[in-house]
Amino acid sequence: MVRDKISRMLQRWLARKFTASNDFQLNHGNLLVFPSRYGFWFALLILLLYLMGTNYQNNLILLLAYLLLSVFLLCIWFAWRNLAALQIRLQPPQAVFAGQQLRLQLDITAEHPFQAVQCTSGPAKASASSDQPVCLQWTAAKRGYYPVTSLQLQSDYPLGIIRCWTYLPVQLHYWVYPTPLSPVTPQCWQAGTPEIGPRSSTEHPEQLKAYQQGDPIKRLHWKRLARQPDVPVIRISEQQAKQDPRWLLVPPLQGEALEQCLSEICHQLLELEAKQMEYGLQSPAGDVTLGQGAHHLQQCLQKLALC
Amino acid sequence: MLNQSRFIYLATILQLLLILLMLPAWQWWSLGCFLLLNGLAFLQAFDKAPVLSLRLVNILAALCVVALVLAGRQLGAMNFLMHILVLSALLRLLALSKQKEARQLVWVHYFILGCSFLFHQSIAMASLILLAFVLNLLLQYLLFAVQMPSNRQLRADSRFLLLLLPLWLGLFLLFPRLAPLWQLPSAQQAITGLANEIEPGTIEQLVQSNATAFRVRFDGPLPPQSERYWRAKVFEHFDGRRWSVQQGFHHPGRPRSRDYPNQATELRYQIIAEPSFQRSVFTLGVPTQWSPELEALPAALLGYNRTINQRISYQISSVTAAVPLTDVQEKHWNLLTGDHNPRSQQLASVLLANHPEPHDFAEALLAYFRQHAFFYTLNPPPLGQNSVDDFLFQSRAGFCSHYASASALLFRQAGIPARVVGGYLGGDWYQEQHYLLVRQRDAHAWVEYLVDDVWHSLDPTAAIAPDRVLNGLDSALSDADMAFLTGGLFGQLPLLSQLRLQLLHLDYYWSVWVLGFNQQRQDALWRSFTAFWQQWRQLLWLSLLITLSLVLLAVAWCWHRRKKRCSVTEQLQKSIPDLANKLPQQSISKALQSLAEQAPSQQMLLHRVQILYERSIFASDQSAQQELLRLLKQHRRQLTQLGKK
Repeated sequence: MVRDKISRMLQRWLARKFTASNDFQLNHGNLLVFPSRYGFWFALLILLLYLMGTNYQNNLILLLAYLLLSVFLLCIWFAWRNLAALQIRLQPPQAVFAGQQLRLQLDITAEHPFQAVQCTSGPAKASASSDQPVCLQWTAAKRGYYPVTSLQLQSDYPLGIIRCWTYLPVQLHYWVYPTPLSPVTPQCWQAGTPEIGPRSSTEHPEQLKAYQQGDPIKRLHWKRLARQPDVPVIRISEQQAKQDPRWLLVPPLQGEALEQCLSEICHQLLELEAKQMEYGLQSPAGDVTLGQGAHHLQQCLQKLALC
Repeated sequence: MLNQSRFIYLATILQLLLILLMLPAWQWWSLGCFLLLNGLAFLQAFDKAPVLSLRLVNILAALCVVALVLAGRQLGAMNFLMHILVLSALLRLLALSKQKEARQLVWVHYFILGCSFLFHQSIAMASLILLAFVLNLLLQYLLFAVQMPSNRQLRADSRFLLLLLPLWLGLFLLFPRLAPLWQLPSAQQAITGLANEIEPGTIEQLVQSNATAFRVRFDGPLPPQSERYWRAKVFEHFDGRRWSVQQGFHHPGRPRSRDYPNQATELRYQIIAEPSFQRSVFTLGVPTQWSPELEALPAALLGYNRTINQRISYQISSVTAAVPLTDVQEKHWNLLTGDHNPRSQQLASVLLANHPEPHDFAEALLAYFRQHAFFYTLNPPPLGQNSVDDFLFQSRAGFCSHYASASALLFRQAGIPARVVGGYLGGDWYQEQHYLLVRQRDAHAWVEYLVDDVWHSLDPTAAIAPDRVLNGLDSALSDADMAFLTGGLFGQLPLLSQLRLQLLHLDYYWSVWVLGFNQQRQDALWRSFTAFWQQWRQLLWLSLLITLSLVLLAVAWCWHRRKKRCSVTEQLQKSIPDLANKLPQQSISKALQSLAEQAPSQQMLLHRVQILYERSIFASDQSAQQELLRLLKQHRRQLTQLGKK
């Protein structure tokens, strides 16, 4: 509970301290410096040597203690300088399919050489030095649209006694699409069309229903408007919908079945795209009209990820 | 970790160095064991031996610990701790697998390095330990760095590394010093210098050592050579051959300076003593004041409050007066002759019959030595159980202790309390460095006899070899003895002895400024600092004020610049005053456009200003902003004239 509170306070403080962006400049304002655990052991060593030097009245032991203390103090500066003046630019991560490796590319530039900078974001860890670019990688587990959890940069260079670190509130999101799986028969998705063409017979009373708020205005049956005061709407009949294979319809499933189905739809989308056919998607997350191309595919996949 | 094999290799070298540094703490078997383990680590470092399993290392550790515990009583607490520390470091290196373990290893190395200063304080050894420290620092760096720093980085960092020096020295000079908080066990080592017994041959052996016994700085003028009798011990128990220190016999008397109002001259001096692993310290005459870590011992002697196992420095004031009787029993005890040396008893009776007055008796004794064929030599023939008889009537050749021993016994046999005093005589004075160097070869023995409850000192050697007292040992010895003493080729090379002397001086400054730096010196430093402050107070205040105002000015200027920089719009408005006349709803860009229409001659310039302004505001283009500012500055006059026509 206390931990949660502290974490909340930290988040609030961070929000005050840093403005979220994808481009950071490390300086006095956002770097934190504190002795590491080993640093406290080091301090204990200095204390022990000081006591020993005092008790034996041995100036050389005292000198050693002071030397270690000077090293300790100087390390604060060196640890800070290793991170200071770094410029970090983040590339938005490429969307991946669930189970694939997600890559977050960090472009770190600095005027002076730096090394042993640990970059951490969620489960991913990587070490950065001035001559090697950093790429954080982790496995995208589940489909969805995720924010990149705040990025931590940390270094205990040069002697491990002082830790210098910072939290970068990243404003990046990434897409994880369902894993494409080749469909098992029978197909779980339904083909159909939510659109009405002029060919459909609108006169049949069974295809009419009362207007509800939110119904598309183009489905209004204008001719009947004068005759019947309750505004009729054209209803989609399922038999009709099944006729068009270009439309993929996410069925109202839940849990594992839904995941399986989304994976199969994903596979189907990719296949349709590869065959350069037109396709559309109807899903609880939203509809995508018929179309084709990389951008269109991306839209469909994003809808799938959000189902 | 940067490079594990390099880490292990360097750590092995460092551990060998540590084993050698701690040499005085080891027994032969532990040294062998440690070297074996270290050798194993070397083999591992060169991939010649397989890495030991943790289990095997644990078994090894258990065996060693059992051996240590069995030998613990013999080792003493301190050496036991050293054994444990070094053993744990050695074994840890043999089974090193994780970074965490390597960190612990580095930590323990630092601690061992600290402990090694308990055994070594000379400048050479301190340099060696510092080298080992740097090696350990490198090990720690290897643990946490990913790569070695490039040359460029080293150059950039070296400036800041230099900061280490003032920081270190500042801490040493200014950090508060405390008195010992509690007593810690100290290492057991063989004593050096004068022992608690003198028998024929003891001092001759000591004299062969050229090692430093102690150094003295005098606050006043240097007393002449013949008055520099450094008392260290009194030997009051005689068994016919051997003189020894009387243990637990009388209470320490503390003579005070007001007891000696007239005849005495007061001396103030600081002694820097080498470790002797004894407690006795060296004084001239009767000490009246001394540093708090010293305590009074019987017979106006002083002792350190614990064994001197490292170089120490202490301050003493004393008066050159005869030593008073501090205990009544002292008189009785120093009359005991025992029933040996019968022939000397006869001699004493004869002398006493002719010279009943004690001072006359003393003179007669010296005359006896002078008139008979006595020789002063470093290699006297061996003496038997009745050493005084053998010396007086057979060999008649001896060193200072022979004469002192014989004289003291003769005094006692004549009914005058007397004792042998052991210490040092003389010392080499170095005018330039302003200190007196007393070596082991200056060891000496003389006599004190009691008249009217005051101990008078008498040096029978002065009768035989007056040069010893006046000019030091070298001038008193025969050529053959000198050759024996300087021995070998190296003692005679002048260049080498010159170099050795320079090193000795360096060692002296090292002792005074580094080893002997204590609270008094720190206080003196502060006092001189405050004196300096008092003297130059006005000037210092003034310079402080000037510096402060300069800093304030600089800060204000930076702030001003920063403010100027942060708003381009303000800058623009300042440069083109006519912009103030624009309508409130009109944008700056629009206003610039209309200005350009009004002043066709400046159209090009204003158009450029507008573009740059828009780029710097809306695209956050730094270069455009700079370009704009430059442009505004360049065409300041034209721009201020705008709209005035």
